[in-house]
Amino acid sequence: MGKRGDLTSNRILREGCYKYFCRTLARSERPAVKWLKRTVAKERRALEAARRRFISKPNEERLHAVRTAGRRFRSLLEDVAELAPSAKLLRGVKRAAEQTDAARDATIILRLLESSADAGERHVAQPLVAELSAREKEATRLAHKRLRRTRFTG
Amino acid sequence: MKPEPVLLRGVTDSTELARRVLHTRLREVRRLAGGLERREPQGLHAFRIACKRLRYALERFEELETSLEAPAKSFALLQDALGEAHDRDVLLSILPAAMAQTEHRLRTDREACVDRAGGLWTQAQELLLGCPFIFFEEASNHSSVSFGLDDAKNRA
Repeated sequence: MGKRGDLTSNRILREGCYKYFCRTLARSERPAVKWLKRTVAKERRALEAARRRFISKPNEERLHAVRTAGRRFRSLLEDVAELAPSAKLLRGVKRAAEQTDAARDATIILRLLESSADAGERHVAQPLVAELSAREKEATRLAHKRLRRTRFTG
Repeated sequence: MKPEPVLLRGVTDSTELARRVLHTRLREVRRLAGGLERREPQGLHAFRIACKRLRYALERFEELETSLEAPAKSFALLQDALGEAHDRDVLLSILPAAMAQTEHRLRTDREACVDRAGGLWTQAQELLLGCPFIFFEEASNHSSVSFGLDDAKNRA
């Protein structure tokens, strides 16, 4: 079988690329599939919009929005995997989440450390605060760099 | 932790789709609820992730069934409490040994978060029981018994 033949059969079913995913859904007239198609498009747009906002001006709040939209979209794709396989799209969403994990973790732990450190022990916490601050800054820079190359537009 | 696959063979309408997803996610949450009783970090983390999946499914299907709104809000609160406990577990794992007072405070707060999560979990289960959309016989071979909810039903 030629390359094209491979692409239009087993490989596409296995990879589940987004265009194939949309075409598969579009062919079906089942109400469940119509609802699913609409919902997938809505959540994908929400993720792409959040990504663009973060890229235009990276900050903690916008990073959180990317992560939340990504988690919701991932959860949807996992829930309906049997009805609409989308392995490639799911991998892309997972990767985007992984790219933001380090930044978010550092931010949360830093805020918690600053708010809960005992007054008499703040000097002991200083090296950890400095390390977490540096990690937060670097991880946010990396998340920005990687998410700039990612698209959820299909 | 990989999610339990949702069996969707033969599904034609969106209500049926919602029921099957919610059944599977609820079963997953029930299966991992022991983590909340054991109170150890790994079990709590797995339970938190399962609650998150169920919460997103509840919120997603709210547009099809408005009675899902109350349990969705309840699961959001439960997830917050579990998330706060998790954040303290992460910080405790990297906290310098010389910060004994801070460690004590974090451990106390962590236990309070887990207690709060326990109360919210009971509340969330009761709200789910009052949600006929989820408990049905036709769409799945699983009755409410398979979720271990009979005891909670009797209490309610």
